[in-house]
Amino acid sequence: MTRPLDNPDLMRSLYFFGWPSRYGGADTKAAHLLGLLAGHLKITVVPNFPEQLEQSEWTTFLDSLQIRYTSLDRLPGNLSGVALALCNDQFFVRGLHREAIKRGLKVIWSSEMMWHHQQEVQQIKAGSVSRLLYVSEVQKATLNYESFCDVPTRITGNYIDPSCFPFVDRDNTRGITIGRLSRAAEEKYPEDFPVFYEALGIPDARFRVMAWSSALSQKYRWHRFDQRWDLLPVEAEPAASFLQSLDLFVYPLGHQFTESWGRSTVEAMLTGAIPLVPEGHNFGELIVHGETGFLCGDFLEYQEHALRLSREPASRRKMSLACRDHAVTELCDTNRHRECWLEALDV
Amino acid sequence: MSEPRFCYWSVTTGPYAEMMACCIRSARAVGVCEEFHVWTDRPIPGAICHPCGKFEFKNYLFKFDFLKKMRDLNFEFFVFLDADNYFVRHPGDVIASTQGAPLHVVLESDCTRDSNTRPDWWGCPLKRFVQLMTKAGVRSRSVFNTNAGFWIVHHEVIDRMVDLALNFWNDCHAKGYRFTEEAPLAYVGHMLMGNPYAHVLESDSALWASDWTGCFENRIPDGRPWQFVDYLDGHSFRVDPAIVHCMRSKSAMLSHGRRSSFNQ
Repeated sequence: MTRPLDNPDLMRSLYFFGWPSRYGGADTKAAHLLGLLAGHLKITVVPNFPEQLEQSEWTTFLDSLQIRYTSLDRLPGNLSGVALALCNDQFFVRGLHREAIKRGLKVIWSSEMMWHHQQEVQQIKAGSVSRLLYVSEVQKATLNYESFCDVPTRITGNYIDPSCFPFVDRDNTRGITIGRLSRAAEEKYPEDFPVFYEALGIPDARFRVMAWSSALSQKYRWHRFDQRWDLLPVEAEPAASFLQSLDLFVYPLGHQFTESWGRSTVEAMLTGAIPLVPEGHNFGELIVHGETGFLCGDFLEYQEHALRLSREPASRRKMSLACRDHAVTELCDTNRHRECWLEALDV
Repeated sequence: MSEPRFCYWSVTTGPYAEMMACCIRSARAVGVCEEFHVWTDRPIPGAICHPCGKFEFKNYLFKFDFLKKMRDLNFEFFVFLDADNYFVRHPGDVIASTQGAPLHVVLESDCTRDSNTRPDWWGCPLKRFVQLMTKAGVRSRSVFNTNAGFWIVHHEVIDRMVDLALNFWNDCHAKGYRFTEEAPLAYVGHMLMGNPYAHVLESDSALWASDWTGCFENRIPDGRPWQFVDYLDGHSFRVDPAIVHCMRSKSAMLSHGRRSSFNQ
């Protein structure tokens, strides 16, 4: 029997409406997902804007995976397969979904966020979407598509290619480095962010944050960031090397924000950074409390764990290795993710 | 780096203006040199007075309105004092009590304790108050109340602090709880102070404490320590603050204030 992998003509077709990026959860997810599915589906990437096709970093990446890419206006009129959009604000607003449906594609949509995008609900109710994807139970409980439609849903989670975030042994001869990486969205940061880090009271600690912005500087203009702080703009360093520079990934969040999955936390774990994150969100699915990081319900818990880890290099290294191991084997298992996605995309 | 510049400030009208005069005189007597800016309806000896005009006293939310007016003054921090505060010694580095936070609110009683004997705070059952705070984003296991007679705010956090405070107050009001300014002040304290436990009265009372039980009733505080009684569970501990919120000494402060008015 001929398998799809041996014969591309037998593969199902996926038209991915969007474009990968190194910044932001959904677009970085796209890059890893395309890598996961390449060779298993006949994939064509359709960016929102034709000029994105000129980004050689990404066209080279797609070429290497034998993934085709084209602008919407060059898509043939009759197609079969599915159109997938992840957190693509333009997809409904600019009627890209209509173009997909007109060509014979079935639409699969994933919000990725804890809110509905503009026109999302309207288009789901109008019957434009054939399948809806959740990233986690936490997101499912909030978006709750089942409450207003009978479109089938799946939880597909979030795939991260472990080879993109290599583990490194940390230098235990100096004070520890605490930091975080996230979109520069103000709502992701707690009101007291810089004083929260400093109040942990860890001797000789350094603080590194990437994807800092002028809006965040404005939000925390009451604070004097001293020489302990390293506030890096978006993509100042490759995400992997930034995360490799952290001993502890300390990730308090804004009080009105809920993390739907926690991609940067798992990226950090893959590199060996130990996560200290708030209770709730989706973190209970990512972290074994006390073994691969800590779920903290109070400032004092962050402080207790961070101080202990800072004083005990051996415990820190052990947990750092456990983070990597757990992330690779439990959270980023390639076969498990691919199986899940191939089923979810089979409409 | 230069020392942070700050001023004291208050809002006082009628007889409270005379108490404010007493407060300022006590500060000067112990060597406090910072300016006192007071929103008032009459001159106050020792203060830089700003006309307060007519304002709404209800629920004491006016403190937040006047705080926004303070933004026009060129200080890094603003130290609020109710008029019935009395300096018994120099408070030292007042701004150090912020511990790097943009705000210092003295947190008093832990509303989550099983040992609490009072069932409510400002008419709100303690469990419900804890729920309201948690729902609004407080992420500590302990949730404290506060006394609003003394607090410190950084100039650059005023807008955010007031927004947070009033959103909380309005949210509670919509749920049927009409708090004074103290509940929203406790809320913003938890939200903005990084480690709220570092701002709890029992862990450090060298700067300020409230004599709500009246140890100095009808007299001016004399600088001696006293046993502070926890409002919610009644346990007591020793306090010896530089600034005494002498809530039960108003008449003594009034007569002191009058004397200072005449002597200036």
